[in-house]
Amino acid sequence: MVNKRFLFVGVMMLFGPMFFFHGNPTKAQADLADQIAKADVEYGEYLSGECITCHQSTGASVGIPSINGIDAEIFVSIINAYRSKELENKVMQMMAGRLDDEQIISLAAYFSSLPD
Amino acid sequence: MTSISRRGFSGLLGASALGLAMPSLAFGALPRVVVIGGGAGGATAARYIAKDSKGAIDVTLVEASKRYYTCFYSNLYLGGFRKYGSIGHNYYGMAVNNGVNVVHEWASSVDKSGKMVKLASGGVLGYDKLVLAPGISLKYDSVPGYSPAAQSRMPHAWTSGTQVQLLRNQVLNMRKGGTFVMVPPPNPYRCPPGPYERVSMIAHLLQERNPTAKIIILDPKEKFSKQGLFMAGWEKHYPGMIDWLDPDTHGGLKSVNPETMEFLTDLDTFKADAACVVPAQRAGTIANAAGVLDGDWAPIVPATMASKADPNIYVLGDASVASSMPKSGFSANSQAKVAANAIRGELTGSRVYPARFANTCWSLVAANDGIKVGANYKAGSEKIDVVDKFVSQGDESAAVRKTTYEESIGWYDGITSDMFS
Ligand SMILES: Cc1cc2nc3c(=O)[nH]c(=O)nc-3n(C[C@H](O)[C@H](O)[C@H](O)COP(=O)(O)OP(=O)(O)OC[C@H]3O[C@@H](n4cnc5c(N)ncnc54)[C@H](O)[C@@H]3O)c2cc1C
Ligand code: HEC
Repeated sequence: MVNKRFLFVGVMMLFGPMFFFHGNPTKAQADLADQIAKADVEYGEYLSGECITCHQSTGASVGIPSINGIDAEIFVSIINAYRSKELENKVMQMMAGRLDDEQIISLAAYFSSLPD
Repeated sequence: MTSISRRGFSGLLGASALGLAMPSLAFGALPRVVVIGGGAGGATAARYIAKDSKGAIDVTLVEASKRYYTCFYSNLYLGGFRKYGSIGHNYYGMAVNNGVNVVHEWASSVDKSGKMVKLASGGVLGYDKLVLAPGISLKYDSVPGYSPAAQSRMPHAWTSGTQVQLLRNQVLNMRKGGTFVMVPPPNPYRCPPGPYERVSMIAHLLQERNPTAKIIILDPKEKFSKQGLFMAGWEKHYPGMIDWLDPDTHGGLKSVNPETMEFLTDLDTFKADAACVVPAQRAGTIANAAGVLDGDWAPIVPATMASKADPNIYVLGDASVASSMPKSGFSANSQAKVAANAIRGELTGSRVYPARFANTCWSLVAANDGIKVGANYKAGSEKIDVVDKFVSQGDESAAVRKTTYEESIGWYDGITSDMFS
C-alpha cells in the first residue's frame, strides 16, 4: 500500500512549495518567505503546545513523525493539504482545520526554528 | 514582578546551568504557585509555568507519590502489550530540569482567605495562585456491598498502581472456562472508553491463555463511548466471549458480595472467578476541602480554568466540570496549558492567548486494531464548546487500524515527556 503522506512529503522535498502556487510561483513564494520571516514566533511557541502532546518536543518520532526543524514552506503546504483533506489523517485534518493563516505562519516559523 | 528584569532571570538560569541552586537565590521575592497533584493536569501545569516563566515564578508541586503510574496504557499492560515498569514515571525532570520544588506529601486542607495549603505532615505552603489537579476519588458505596476492603477481591484498578497488577494476576489465575465480570461506572467518570478498552484487553489475554472463559459486563448505562466500534471489534476478534448487558436487560445491580464473588441483579445472580468493579466517582478530596465543588465536581471559567468559587484557584483535569470535554489525560494536559498561560499572565504580565483545547482518546480493541475519537474546543462563556470532532469509522482497513494504534504509542511518549521531562 502506498502511503500518501510519504509520497506527498517526498514530492514537497523535491519541488518545494512552487508545486503549490499557480499563477506566479516565484512571487507567491517570496511573499510566503517574507511572512514567515516576520512571523510571531512566540505565538507559534504557544500554539505548539497543542501539537507537542503528539509531536514530541524531544524530536523522537515513534508512531508520529517529528516536525522539529521542518522547512517552513513545506510545513505550510502540508498543513494546507490536511486542511483541504488532500492528506488523510483524521487527527491532523481536525488540528489543521482550525488553524488560520496567521497561526499557520507562526507555527511554521516556530517549528522550523527548532533543531531537528 | 517588575523589579526583576528578564536579563536578571537569564543570569539566574545561567547560574543554574553551572550547577548552582536557582530558586534559593531569589527565595521569597517571587510570586508563588502551588500545584496539588502531579498527574496529567498538575504535572503539565507545574512544568509549563516553571519552564515558560524562566524562573520568574516560584512553583511548588505537592504530589503524594514518588512515582506516577499512568492510568493511560494500564489496559495495555493488562492485555500484555506493555511492561508494568514502562508506565511508571518520576519527578526528576520536574525538579532538576525545570526548577520545580517537588514536595512528596499529602495536602490535607486549603485556607482560601490566608492563601495557604496545609500538608498532612503539618507543613504549610503559601501561594498567590493555587492549582488543584487531584484527579478522582471513588464513591465506593455507589455499588452496594463494595468497599475499600472489597477492592482486593474485586479490584477497581481505576487509579492505576498496585490494583492494576492485582487485576492482571487475578485474570491469569482464573479457572479454565471461568467467568470474568466487569462493572463499569455510571456517568460522568474518568476515561469514557476505558472500561470497554479494559474488556477488550482482558478478552485478548483470556483468548491466549484461557479461550473458553467468558466475560459479562453489567453496565449501569444504556450506551457507551465508541460502542459500535467496540462491539464490532469484540464480534470480530473474540466471537461469543463477551456479553454486554444493559440496565434494561439485567434490571439493575442490587449488590455485590466480595466473599462469594456474586453479583445480584434482577435478571440473575452472576458468579465470577475474577472481577473488576469501578464505582461512581467524584473530584479528589482536596477539592472538597478547598470548597470549590458544586456537587461532586468543580465548576470552572472556561477561558482560564479558574474555579468559579475563587479566582486564585484553578481546577484541572478530572476534578473539574470541563464539559464538553471528557475526563481524560489528554484533556487534563490541554487544560493545564490554558491555565499555565493565564496564571503566568496574571503573575508576570506575560502575553495571554485565547484558550484552545483538544482531546483524542485512542483505544486498543485487539493486537494492531486501534480506534480513536477526538475533538477540539474553545472557551464559551458558560462551557467549553466543541469546534470540530472525529471518530474512527467502522469500515476502516486493517492498515488504518494499525496506524491508529501506532499513533497512540507516539502520543503516549509525547504526553508523558510533556508532563515529566
Ligand atoms: C483504565 C484507564 C485508561 C485510561 N486511558 C486513557 C487514555 O488512553 N487517554 C487519556 O487521555 N486518558 C486516559 N485515562 C484517563 C486519565 O488517566 C485521567 O483522565 C487523567 O489521569 C486525569 O488527570 P488528572 O491530573 O486530573 O488526575 P491524575 O492523573 O489522577 O493525577 C492526580 C494526582 O494527584 C495526586 N493527589 C491527589 N490528591 C492529592 C493530595 N491531597 N495531596 C497530594 N497529592 C494528591 C495523586 O497522587 C495523583 O498523582 C484512562 C484512565 C483509566 C482509569
Ligand atoms: C493527536 C495527535 C496529534 C496532534 C495533537 C497533532 N498532530 Fe500532527 N500529526 C499527527 C500524526 C499521527 C501525523 C501523521 C499523519 C499522517 O500519516 O498523515 C501528523 C503529521 C503532521 C505533519 C506532517 C509531518 C510529516 O513529516 O509528514 C505536520 C507538519 C504536523 N503533523 C503538524 C502538526 C501541528 C502544527 C500540530 C499542532 C497544531 C499537530 N500536528 C498536532 C498527530 C498529531
